[in-house]
Amino acid sequence: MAAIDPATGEPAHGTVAAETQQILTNMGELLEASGSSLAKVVKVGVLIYSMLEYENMNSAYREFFPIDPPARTVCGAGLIGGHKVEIECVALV
Amino acid sequence: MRDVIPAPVPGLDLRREYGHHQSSAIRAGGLIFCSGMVAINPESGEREHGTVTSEARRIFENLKLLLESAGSSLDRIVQVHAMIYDRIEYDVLNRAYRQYVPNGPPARTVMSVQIEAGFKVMLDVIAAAETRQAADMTHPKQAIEPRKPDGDVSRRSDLPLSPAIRAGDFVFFRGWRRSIRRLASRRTAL
Repeated sequence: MAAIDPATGEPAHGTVAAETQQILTNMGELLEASGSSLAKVVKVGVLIYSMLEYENMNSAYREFFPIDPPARTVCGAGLIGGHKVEIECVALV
Repeated sequence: MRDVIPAPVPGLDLRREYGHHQSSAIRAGGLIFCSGMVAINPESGEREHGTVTSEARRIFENLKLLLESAGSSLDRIVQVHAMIYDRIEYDVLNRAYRQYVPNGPPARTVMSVQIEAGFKVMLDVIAAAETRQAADMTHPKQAIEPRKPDGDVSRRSDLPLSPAIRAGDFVFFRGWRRSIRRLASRRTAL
C-alpha cells in the first residue's frame, strides 16, 4: 500500500513519517474490514525511497504496533508514483 | 494463533540492539515468518560487514539458530527473497547460497536494493513450522514439479532454487521473469 487519502482516493504525498502513518492507518481499517487487525499482522515488508530515512519510518511505525510487533523487512527501492514509502503485510484472519 | 519467536541469542535481537521495531520471527498458520536477516554477530550483536560470501554465510548460520530454536530448520525454508546491493554479485551469492540449501532449495527471488547500514546481503525467509499437521505429512515442504520439465529454467541453468514449493495450505513461487513467461507461453504450460 502507498499513502492514499481515503476520502478522495488521491495520493497523499508527504514526509516519510506522514506517509507511514497514513498507510498504516489505512491498512488497519482495511484489515478490520476483512475481519483482521494490525495486531494480527505476522509479517510486514517496508520499501522506502532512501534508507537514510529509516529512523523516520521506524519511529512512526512503532506507534502502530505497541506490543509484539510483526516480523519485518525494510529495504530501499525505487517506488512508483512519487511515493516515499510503500508497505505490504501478511495477516491472520 | 500468532506466536512471537524470540531471538535465540542476545545478539540477534535487533529490536534491543538497534531499535528496529520488529520481532525476530512470528509463527502463524504453520509457517515461520522471519524478519529480514543481515550479517550480525550472534553473541555481540556487532554488524559484520564483509563480502557477499561472508555476509551470506553469517546470515545462514544465524538463520539456523533462529529456525532451530523455533522447531524448524534450514531444510524447511520454503521461500527466500534474497536482496543484494548489486546485481553484479549475483553469481557470488549463488555460490555461497547453494551450500546451505543442498536439497530441495526454496522458491527464491533475487533483487538488488538498498540494504540497511551498508550491508551487501539481506535474506527474507519463510519456513515451514514443526506442527502436528506437518508431522502427519511425509515432509512439511514439497517441491512442485513443472508439468514439462524442459519448461523449467531453474533446472536448465542449475540455479539453487525450486520453481514452487508447497507447504501446508500455501504454494510459494519463485520470482518470474519475462524470459520464463515467454517460455511458458511458447510451451503452453509450465
